[in-house]
Amino acid sequence: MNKKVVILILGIFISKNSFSAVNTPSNDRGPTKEFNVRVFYKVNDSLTAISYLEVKDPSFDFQQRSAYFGARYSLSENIKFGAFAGYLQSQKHNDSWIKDGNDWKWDNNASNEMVYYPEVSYRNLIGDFVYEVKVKYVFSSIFNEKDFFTKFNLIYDFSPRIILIGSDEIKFSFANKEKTLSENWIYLSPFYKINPHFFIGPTIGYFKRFWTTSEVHKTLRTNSYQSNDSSVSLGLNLNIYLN
Amino acid sequence: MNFAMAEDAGHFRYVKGVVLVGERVATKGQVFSHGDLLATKKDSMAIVTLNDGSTIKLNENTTIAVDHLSNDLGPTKVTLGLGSVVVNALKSALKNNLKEKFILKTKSVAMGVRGTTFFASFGKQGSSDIWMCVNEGTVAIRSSVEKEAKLVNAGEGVQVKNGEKTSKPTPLVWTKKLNWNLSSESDADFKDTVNIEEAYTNPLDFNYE
Repeated sequence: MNKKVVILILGIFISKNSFSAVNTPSNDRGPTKEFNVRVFYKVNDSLTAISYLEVKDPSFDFQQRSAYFGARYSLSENIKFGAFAGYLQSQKHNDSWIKDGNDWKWDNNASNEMVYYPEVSYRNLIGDFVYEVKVKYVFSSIFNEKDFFTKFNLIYDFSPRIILIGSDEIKFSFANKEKTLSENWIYLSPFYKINPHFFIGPTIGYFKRFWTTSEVHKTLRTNSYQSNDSSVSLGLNLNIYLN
Repeated sequence: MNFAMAEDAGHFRYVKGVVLVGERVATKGQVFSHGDLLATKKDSMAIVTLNDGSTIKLNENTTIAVDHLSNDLGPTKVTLGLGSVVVNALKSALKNNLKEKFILKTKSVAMGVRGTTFFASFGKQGSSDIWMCVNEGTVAIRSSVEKEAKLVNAGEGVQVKNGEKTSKPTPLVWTKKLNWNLSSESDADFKDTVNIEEAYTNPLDFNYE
C-alpha cells in the first residue's frame, strides 16, 4: 500500500515537472555569464555622456547583447537625471515564450528591440558609505512593454585602489495584471582602479525572474502559469573614463 | 637685537633620505631661514617646524620655501613649488585675529588656513593640477582666476585643474586613509601610501554605472 502511494506521488511529481519543463519557462542551465563595458565621457562639470555594452548568457555564446547610449546630468551633487536609448538582442520577455513545433522556447528573433528610458537618482553619504536610489521607466519597442526599475546601491571606497558596490535592482511590470513584480537582481561588484581611466572588477549576482502566461499560451488556450527562474550570475565589469 | 635669530624660519624635526636646504644636505635639528628652498628627493621625507608653531611634512620630490612667518603684518606664507605636503597650522600663533593664519601658495593657487591640518599636492606627474583635502578645520582656497575663495571643511577635498577653476568641495571618505601623522617623537613611518592623484574620486559625483 505504502509502495503504491510513493509511486503515485512520484508519478505526479515527475509528470508535473516534465510538464512545466516543456510548457513554462524554467531555470537556465548553469550560471549566467556576463561582461559589461561602460564608457564615460565628462562633457563638463554637470554633464556626462555614457555608453554601456553588455553581453549576458548562460552559455558563452553571449546571444543576449545590449548597447545603450545616453547622458547623465547632475542637477546637484546629490540628484542626477539621465536619458538613455538602447538596442537589445535576445532578451527574455513574458511574450517571447513561444511554441515551436512541439517545443516551447524563447523567441530570439522576436527580441530585437529598442528601449528608451529616463532615470533619476539620489545619492548621499551615510557614515563612510555612499547610498544611491535610482529609478527608471523603460519603454520597449516590442510587446508594448513599459517597465519600472528601482535600484539601490551601497558604495564603499577602499581607496586608493578598491571600490565595492552592492546593488539590488527590482523590475516592476505594471501592465502585467497577473504579477507586477518581474525581476530582482542582487549584485556585489568590487572595482579595482588600474588608474583614473580604467576600473575593472568581477561581478557576482543572484537573480530571480517571474514569468506569467505568454500571449502564445493564451492564444493556444493551453495552460496559464506563473513560474520563475533563478540563477547565479558571474561576470566582469570594465569602466573606462575618457577624461 | 639678534638679526640672525630673526631670520630663522624653523628647523627640521625629522629627516629621511636625501633632503636639501638650498645646496646643503639637511640634518635633524638643522635651522633654516626665510627664502631657503627645502627639497626632498625620491624616497625621502622631512618634517619641519616653523617658528610660528606650525608643522609641515614634505613628501618625496617636494620643494617648498618659507616666505614669511606670521606677525603683525600678515599670516605665515609658504610656497609649494612642487610635490605634496601635509600642513598642521593648528599651533601657529594667532596674530591680530588674522582670519587666515597660514597661506600655502602655488604659482596659481592660494590656500588660506584657518587652524587646521590639510594635504596639498602640486605639479606631480608633470601636471599643473592641484589636489587638496582637509583633515581638521577649514581651508579657504582660491585660484588666480577666481574672485572668491571656496571653503573646504574637514573630510572634504578639491581639485584645481591647470590652475583654473576650483572644483566644488566634496566629502572624500578616503582622506582618512592619508597619513596625517606629523609626530616626530618616534620613528613612526610618515610615508603616504595613498596617491591622491589616483585616489581622487568624488563618491557623490562619480559614475560607476
